[in-house]
Amino acid sequence: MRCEKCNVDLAENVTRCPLCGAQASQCSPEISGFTVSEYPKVQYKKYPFRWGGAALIIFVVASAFAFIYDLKVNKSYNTALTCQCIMLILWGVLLRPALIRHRSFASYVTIAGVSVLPLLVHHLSKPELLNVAVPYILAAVSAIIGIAMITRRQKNRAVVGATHVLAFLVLSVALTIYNLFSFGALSVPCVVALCIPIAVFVVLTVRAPRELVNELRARFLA
Amino acid sequence: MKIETKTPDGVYMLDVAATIYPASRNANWNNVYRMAVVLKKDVNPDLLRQAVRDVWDRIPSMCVNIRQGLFWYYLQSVDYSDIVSEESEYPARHMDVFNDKKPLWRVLYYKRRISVECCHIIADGGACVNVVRSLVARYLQLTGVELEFTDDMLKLDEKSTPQEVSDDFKKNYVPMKGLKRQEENSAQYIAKVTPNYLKYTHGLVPISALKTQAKSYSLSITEYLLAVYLYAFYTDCAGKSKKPIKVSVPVSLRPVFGSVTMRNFSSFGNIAIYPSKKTYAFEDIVEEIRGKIVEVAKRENLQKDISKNVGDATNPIVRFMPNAVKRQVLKLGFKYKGQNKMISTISNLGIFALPEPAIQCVERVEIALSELPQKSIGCALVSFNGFMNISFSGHTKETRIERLFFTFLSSAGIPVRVECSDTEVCG
Repeated sequence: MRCEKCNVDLAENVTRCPLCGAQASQCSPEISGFTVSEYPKVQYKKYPFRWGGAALIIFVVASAFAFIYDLKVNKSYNTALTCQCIMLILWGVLLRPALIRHRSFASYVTIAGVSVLPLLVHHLSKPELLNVAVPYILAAVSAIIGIAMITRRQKNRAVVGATHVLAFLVLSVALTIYNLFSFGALSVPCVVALCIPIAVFVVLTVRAPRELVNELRARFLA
Repeated sequence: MKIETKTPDGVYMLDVAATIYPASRNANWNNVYRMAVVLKKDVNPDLLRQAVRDVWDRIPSMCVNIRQGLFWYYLQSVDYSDIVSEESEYPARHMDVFNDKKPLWRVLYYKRRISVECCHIIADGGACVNVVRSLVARYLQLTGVELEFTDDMLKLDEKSTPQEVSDDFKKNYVPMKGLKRQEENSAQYIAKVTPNYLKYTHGLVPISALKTQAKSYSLSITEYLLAVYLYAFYTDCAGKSKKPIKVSVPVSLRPVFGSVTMRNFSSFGNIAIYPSKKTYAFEDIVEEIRGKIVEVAKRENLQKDISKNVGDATNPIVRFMPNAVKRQVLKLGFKYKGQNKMISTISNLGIFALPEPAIQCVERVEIALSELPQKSIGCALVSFNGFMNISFSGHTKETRIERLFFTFLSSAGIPVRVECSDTEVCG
């Protein structure tokens, strides 16, 4: 077969030219000795809807609302800003990477909920309660992740879990420092929040998922 | 300067070039390219499985999957698993790189075609082509074809050497100062992307005819085809953008640095024309690009590229940045400092050499890139048995560039046979 319009040979079984869509004509080809290399017929599917995007929009809208509310009612933006920073780190650094494999509507809703929760706590109560609630949330989430990772059979998940617990630990430390500067003293929840991720991380390391040890050795001890 | 990093058995650090791929992947794309060999007889799946099993132990650096660590991604060996299946999806479809049991390559068969789809994280085309050659030769041996592996092929009875699994970027690193990545953005080819879709358009062209044409302009075949490709973009984009039109040309570093690594070891150069400055005829483009590929492939320029890449990868800030943060940084860098610098890629894998008895059993070889969905089009070239296969891959049903390219060749008196992977397009 040939396409007279494009002046090229075509495969034997085609009716149209793949370049221009014109009707193929039955002329003798210039190149001989080849037969068509067939491909399977494929049903193309559309990309799945990105629930992550929807959850992110919820987060952005909630943050903007909190910021404006704080500025108008409390005449300050410090607490809302701190809150937003924490949520941004939660979202970008910890939770979104965790969703690389497990994309489900329920997980996105959970994460959106977790992101918005500190804001709700903040705006439905006194600002001080933020300093109580957020460390507890952090500690609880890191404990849940840690337990899940320890009981999971797939080893590489344990490494991902360790990453997250470590990141929660960093957050807890940041919050503790914030507390220290804001109130001049450490609150009990902050200490709890600080201890739980450390404990979980130690347990994870003691259980020693082989890949974690291997990676640490490869990166830093070589 | 030689940077050596010891790793435990079965654990490989990503090579310097591969660092960007896990970070730049998304839910629908993770840089999987395809090398396919079309035989003259239908493929026997059981023998193909046996051939893959025989090749498996010879390529430890490819039989790995990726793991996410605290600071970097790294590769971990996986035990043998069946990676052969019948082709039922679109080519080079998304690969689940975090699958615990499967390596980052797969083997597909469909009627007469054996396709190896490989994620760029583990190997570049130059390494993968060696694996495909050995796999096909072994498969043909199992079907009863008597053939000997040539010296330049992977011998399956030998063990893999440390040189084959080494990161030769680090091996050939020479610290240099004042190297910059400043480069002007390229114009982009705008086409309507079809979701979850990849189409290959193959053009078979006799090498003798191509050589005659290229010689008439005193160019190599790759240079000639690059000029045609640029001309196709120029014709399509004329007046639409003031930016230069840049096509990326990958260069294998193996021959230049005497490497035998089976991992990534290639660089690239962007070759540009400037439509805002003047109007081009094809002959003007020929003059504009003359000698540019040779310039890109000069050892000192390649050495600079290696130094830039290794220097960035070994920067202490980058090394100690948590992986979750690093991934976002690299993703942004890839988007704004990498992909915007070129309109497309043209990659020549050279001659696909097989032992003489095997050549009689193989009809043709196809190689195709997996460009980012936003890039819309990529071009790969491979020569086999007197014919060059020019493969365009794209996430769009539009065929403007392919048509301009192939009609230019046919108008220059070069016979072209065109085939397409989308059965709906050509009825």
